[in-house]
Amino acid sequence: MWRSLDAVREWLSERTRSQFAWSLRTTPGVRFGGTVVCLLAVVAVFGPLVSPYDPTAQVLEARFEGPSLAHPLGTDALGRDVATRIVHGARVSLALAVAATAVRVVIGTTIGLLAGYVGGLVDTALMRLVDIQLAFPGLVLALVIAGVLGPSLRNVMIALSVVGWASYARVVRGNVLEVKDRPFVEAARLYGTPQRRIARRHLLPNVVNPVVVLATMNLGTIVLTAAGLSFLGLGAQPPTPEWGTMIAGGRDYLRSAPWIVTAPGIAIMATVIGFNVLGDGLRDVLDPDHLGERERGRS
Amino acid sequence: MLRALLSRLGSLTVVIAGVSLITYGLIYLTPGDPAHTILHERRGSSPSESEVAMFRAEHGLDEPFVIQYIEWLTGIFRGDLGTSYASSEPVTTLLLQYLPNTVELALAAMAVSLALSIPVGVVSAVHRDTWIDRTSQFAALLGISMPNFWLGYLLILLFALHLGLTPTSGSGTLAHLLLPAITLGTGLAAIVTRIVRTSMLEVLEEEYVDTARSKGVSERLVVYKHALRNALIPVVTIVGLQFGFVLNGAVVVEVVFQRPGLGTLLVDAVFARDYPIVQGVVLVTAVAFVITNQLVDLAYVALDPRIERGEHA
Amino acid sequence: MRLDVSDLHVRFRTRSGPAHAVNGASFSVDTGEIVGLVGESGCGKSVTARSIVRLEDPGEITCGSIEFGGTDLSAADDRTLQRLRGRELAMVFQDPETTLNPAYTVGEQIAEAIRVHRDPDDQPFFRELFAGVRSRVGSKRTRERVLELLREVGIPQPKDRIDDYPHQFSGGMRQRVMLAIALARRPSLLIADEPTTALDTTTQAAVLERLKTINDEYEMGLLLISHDLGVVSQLCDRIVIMYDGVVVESGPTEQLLSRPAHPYTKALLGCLPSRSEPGETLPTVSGSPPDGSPPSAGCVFVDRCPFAREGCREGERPASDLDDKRTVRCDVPEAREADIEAMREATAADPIDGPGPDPGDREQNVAVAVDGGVQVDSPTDTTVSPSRSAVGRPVLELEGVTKTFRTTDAVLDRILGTDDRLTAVDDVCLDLRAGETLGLVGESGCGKSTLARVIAGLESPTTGTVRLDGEPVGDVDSRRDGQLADVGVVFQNPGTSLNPKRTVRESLAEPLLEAGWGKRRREERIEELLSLVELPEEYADRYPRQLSGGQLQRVAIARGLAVEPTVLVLDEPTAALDVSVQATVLNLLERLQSQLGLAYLFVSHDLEVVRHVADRVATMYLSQLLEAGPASQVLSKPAHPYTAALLEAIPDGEPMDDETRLAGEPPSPTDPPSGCAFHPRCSMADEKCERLEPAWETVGDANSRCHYANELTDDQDEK
Repeated sequence: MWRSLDAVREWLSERTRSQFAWSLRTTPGVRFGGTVVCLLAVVAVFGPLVSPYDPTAQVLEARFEGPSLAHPLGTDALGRDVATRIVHGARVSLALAVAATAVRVVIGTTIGLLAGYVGGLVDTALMRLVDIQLAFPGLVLALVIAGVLGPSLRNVMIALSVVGWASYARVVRGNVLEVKDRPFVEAARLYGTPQRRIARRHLLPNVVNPVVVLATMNLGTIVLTAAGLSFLGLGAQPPTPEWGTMIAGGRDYLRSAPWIVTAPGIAIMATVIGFNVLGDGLRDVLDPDHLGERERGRS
Repeated sequence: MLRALLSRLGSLTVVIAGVSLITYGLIYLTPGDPAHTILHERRGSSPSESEVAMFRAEHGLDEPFVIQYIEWLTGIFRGDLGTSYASSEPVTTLLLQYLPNTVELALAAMAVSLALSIPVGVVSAVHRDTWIDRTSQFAALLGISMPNFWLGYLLILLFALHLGLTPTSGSGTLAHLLLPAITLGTGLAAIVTRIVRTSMLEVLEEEYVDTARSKGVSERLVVYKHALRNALIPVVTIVGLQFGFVLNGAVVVEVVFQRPGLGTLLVDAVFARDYPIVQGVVLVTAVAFVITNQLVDLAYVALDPRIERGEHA
Repeated sequence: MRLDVSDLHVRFRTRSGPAHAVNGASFSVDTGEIVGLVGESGCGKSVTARSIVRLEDPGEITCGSIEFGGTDLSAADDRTLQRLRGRELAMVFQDPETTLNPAYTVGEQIAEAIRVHRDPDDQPFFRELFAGVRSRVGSKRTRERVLELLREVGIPQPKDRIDDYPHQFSGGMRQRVMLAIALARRPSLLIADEPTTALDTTTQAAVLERLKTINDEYEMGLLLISHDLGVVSQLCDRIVIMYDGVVVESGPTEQLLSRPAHPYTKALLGCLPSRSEPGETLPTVSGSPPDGSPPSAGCVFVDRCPFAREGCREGERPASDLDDKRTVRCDVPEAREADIEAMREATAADPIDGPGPDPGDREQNVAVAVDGGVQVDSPTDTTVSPSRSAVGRPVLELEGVTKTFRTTDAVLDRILGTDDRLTAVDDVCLDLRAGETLGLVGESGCGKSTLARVIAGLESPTTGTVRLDGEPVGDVDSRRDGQLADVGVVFQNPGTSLNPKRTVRESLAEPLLEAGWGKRRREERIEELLSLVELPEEYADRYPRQLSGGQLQRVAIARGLAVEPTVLVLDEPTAALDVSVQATVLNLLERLQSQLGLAYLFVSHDLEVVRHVADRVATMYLSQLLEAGPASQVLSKPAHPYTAALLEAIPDGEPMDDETRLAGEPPSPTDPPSGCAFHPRCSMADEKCERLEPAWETVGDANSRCHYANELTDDQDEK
C-alpha cells in the first residue's frame, strides 16, 4: 500500500469492520430504530389480543371522551377507543408496508440484476422502463391506480407495489456495474464459471446491503404514503382501524376533540422515525459508501 | 455535443411515449367494463345495454384501444385532452384553470425549503456531532417522518383556530398560501437538509479542502468557497428529483387546505371516475416532472466543469 | 527557517480504542536542506507530515512539539497558522487526482495562493467568492505572476492552460500545478508527501528534478516523505527512517545508505530487488508489521529483529548519536555493526509476512508438488534456480495480436457507424517457454494490461492469434476446460481480486469446482495450495478483510495456481505492496517457478523488479512493442531509445543524463503520431522517424522497433 494516509484510514475502518456484529449492535441508530421497530411489531402482533375494546363497535354514549384512565387516548366521534384503534392500525400499516416492500424488492432487484449484468440493448430497454416508472410522481400514480381499481386496502397495496420498484432497479444495476468490473468477477470468468452462477455467487451478495438499507427506509415511506392514500379515502374503508383514515375521520372535530387527529399522527410519526433511524444505522454499517443514498429522494 | 443532445432527445421521446401509453391505459384497470362501471356507480343501479352503448359512443369508448389511444394522442398535439364526463367541460380548460394554484404552491414550498435547508445543512456538517448538528438532525428526522396532512391540521389548529392568524382554507391571498407552503415545504426541507449535510461531510473529507487549508485560506472561505460549491452539485440533482415529492405532497396538502388545484381536481376526478380529467392531470404532472429533471441535468453540466459534454445520464 | 519536531505523538480515536500512529518522532529540517522521511505504509510518516502543517485531523497531537522559526506549531492558534501557511509553510500531497479543487480553474487556484500570500489576514469573503464564480484570473499583475509560476514548474504553453480546469490536466501536470500553488507563497519549507508515487517513472524523474531546482533557487527547506529509498537517495541531503511511529535512524544520505546502523534500515535496504543479483532470493523481514497498538516498553522493532536480546524488550530505547550527524535508536553493538549481507542470512529464515505460526515450526518448508511428490525446499537457498535457462517449445505464442476498442458505446453511434476505435494493443508478437519469466514493462496506459487480459482470455484479440501449446485459442467463453486450466492469472490488487464476502477456502474452491473436481480432491488441493504459498491451514476460513496485503496476494497466487496452469499471468503483482512484503512475494514466485516449472508473464512498471525476476524483457509504448530480448541484454544495452530512457528514469541517486531524458508525456492513443510512435519524445529522432514506421528488426539476441537500433548498441559498446 503506497497511499499511506489511506492505509491509515482503511486500517481504521478495518478495525471497526472486523467486529461486524459488535458494531451492528452498538450503532446507536440500529439500537434505537431496532427497538422502536421491534416494539411496533410486538404491538401489531399481540396488541389486538390484549386490548379490552372492540376497535369497530360504536358506543354512542361514550363519544368524544377526552383522555382518561379508561380511554388513555380518548374516544372518537363514534365512541370507539382511540388507543385500541391505533393498536389495530399498527397491524394494518405494518402488514401493508412489508408486503408492498417485498414486491418492490423482488421486481426491482430482478430488473436491476438483468440490466446490469446482461447490459447492451436489454439494459437500455429496461432502463427506459425504469425511467418511465420514475416519470410518475409516486403518490399520484398510486392514487390513480388505487382509485381506478376501486378504493380498498388490497388495491392500495397493489398500487404501492407497482410503483417504487424502479429505485431498487437503479441501485442494483449501479452496484452490479460497479462490482462487475472488479477483478474477482473477472477471475471467476477465467475458470469458465457460467454467467448465472457468477451473478448468484458474486454479484448478488455484494448488492444485497444497499437493498436492505433502501428497503428499511422504504418501509417508512410506504407507511406514510399508505396513510396519505387512506386519508384521501382510497385505502382502508371505515370502520377499518387505519391511521390515515382515523385522521380523516377526526378532521371535522379538530377544535373540540384534537386527540382524535393527534394520536394517530404520532403513531405514524413514531413508526416512520423507527424505520428511518434503523435504516440510517444500517447504512452506516452495511453501506458505508452510501450507494443507495441517491435513490432515497425518489418515489 | 449535438450527438449527446440527439441521443438524449431520443430517450426522452421514448419515455414520454411510454408515459402517455400508461396514462391512457390506466383506465382499463377498472374492474369490468369502464362504461358499465361508471354508469353503475353514477346511478347506483345496473345500466341497460343501450345506455352503456350510448355512453361509449359519446366518449369514443367503442373504438379498439389502439384507435382510442391514437386519437387521444393526436388530440394532445391540438391542445385537446378530451372533455370531462361529468361537466362536459374541456379538460384543457380545467387544467389551465387549476394549474396556476398548484404551481404557486409548489414554488412557494420549494422556496421555503431551500431557504431553510441549505444553511442548516452546511452548519450541521461544519459543526458535526455538536449539539447544533444533533438538534438540526433531529428536527430533520421529525420533518421527514411527519405525515404532511397531519402537520397541516396541526398548523390549522394552532395558527388558524387558536391564534386566528391565517385562514383555514381556500386560496387567493398570501395568507392563504402561507400554511400550505410551510406544510409542504417542511418535509422537503428535511430531506434536502440531510442531503446537504451528507454531501458537505463528504466534500469536507476531500484532499482539496486540505489543500485550501494548507494554503492559508481562512476557514470560512474553505467551507463556503471550496467545499460548498462542490457539495451543491449532487444537491441540485436531488432537488430536481424532489419536484416529484412536491407534486405528491401538493395533492394531499390541497385537500387538507381545500385549495382548488391540480391535486383536488385529481382526487375529485378519481372518485367520480372522470377519466379524461384523471388522464390529463397525470400526463401533465408526469411530463412536467420529466422535463424538470432534464433541466436539472443541464444545470448539472453548468455547475460541474468536469462534465463537458452531455454524457452524464 | 528551521523545523524541529521533537517527541511528537499523534493518535486516532477509534471505536475500539485509540490507535497510535506516531509514538515520539523527533527530527529536524534546516534552512535550505532536503530531508527524506522514509518508512513503509502505516509507519506514521504521512501523519507526521500532516501534523506539521496541522492537518492531522481526525488524529490528535497528544504530546511533543513542532518548532518552526521560533513558533510551536502544535500550540499555535488559527490566526498564526493561517499566516504561516500563507507565507512560510507549504505542502504538496500525494495524489494529484484529488488535491486540486475540480470546480475552479488552475489559474484561480494559484492566484488564490498569491492573494493569500500578499496578506494572509485580509481575505474579503465576497471578493473571494466572486473570484471563484468568475474562475478566471482578472488582475493583470496576478495573472502575470501565475503564468510565471506555471512556466517555472514546467507546464508547456501556460497561456493556453491557465484557464483550464484540473481534470483537463494529466497526473504529472496536476502535480506541477500543486507545486506552483506551493511556490506561490515563496515558502521557506516545503513538505512533499509522496509527491511522485502516483506518477509514472519518467514523469516522476521530471518532477523530482523540478523539486531539486526549486530547492536550489528558493533556498527552501524540503521535507520529502516517501516509501521509496531510490527517490529519497536521488534528492536528499539527509534521511530519516521511521518505523511504528518512531524515528529509528537518521543521518546523511551517503552514510546512511552505505553504512546503515539500525537493523530495520538494513532490512529495508536489503530487500530492495536492485541490491540483489537477478533471481537471487531476497532477504526479508520476518514477523508482522506494526498495527497501531499502544507502544510497548522497549525497542519497537524487537519482535522482528534477528539481533534482539532480552534487554531490548525493557526500558525506553533512547536515540544515541553515532557521531555529530547521525542518530540511531539501537544499542546492540553487533546489530549496529552488522553489514547488510549478515542481515540477509539472519532474516531469510522466515518468509511469512504477517501474523503466522511460530517461526520455530518453519525451519523447513515441506510442500507437496503438483505431481504428488514431496519436495523439500530449503528456505535459505540463495542459488540461482535452474529455470533461468529455459528451453523447449513455447507454451504461449502471440502472433500479430491487435486489440482495438470502441471509444463510444452509444446506440446512435453504432447505427450511424461513426464509432472511433482506439488501438490498445498493436501487432504484438511474443512467445513464452516453460520455466521462463517474460517481463513486460511500460508506462501506464501503454496497453500492457490489455495484452495480459487478451492472453488470459478476458478479451478476444481483434486480429492475430494467441496459441496455447501450439493451439489457437479465443476468449474464455470459447476455451476448452484444459485450455482454461492452462492459464492462471494474478491481478494487481489482491484487495479487489478476491470477493470480500467469500472465505479463502471458498475462493480457492471456485476454480476447482468449475473444473469439476470432487469434494475430497478439492479439500486436499486447497491444503496443498495453502502450503505451496506458505500460508497456515487455518487461514482457509478467514475472510479477505482479515488478511494483510501480502497474505492476500499469496491467496491470489494460490488461486491462480489452483488447476495446475502452465502459464501464470502476473499483472503488477507487487505494485500495491510495501518493499519488504514485495520481497517475500517475489521470493515465493521464484520458488514456485523452479518447483513447478511455470512460465510467467510478469507485467510491471517497475524496472528494478523486472530486472530481478525476468529472463526476457519486452518494453511496450503506445500499444506497440518497442523492444524485446534477453533481460541481461535489454536492461544493460538497450536497443531502443525508449528502453534507455526508462532505465535512465530509475531514481538511483545518479543525476539524469540530458540526452536520454524523456521530454513531455505520452501522446493520446486515440491520435497516435505518424511514423515511429516514440518520435515526438525521442532525443535521437529525425525526419525519417517522423515519416517512416520502423520495422521489428533483430539486433543481437533482441528485437527492436527503431531505425537506429544498431547505432544505439554500437554507441554503448564504445562507452
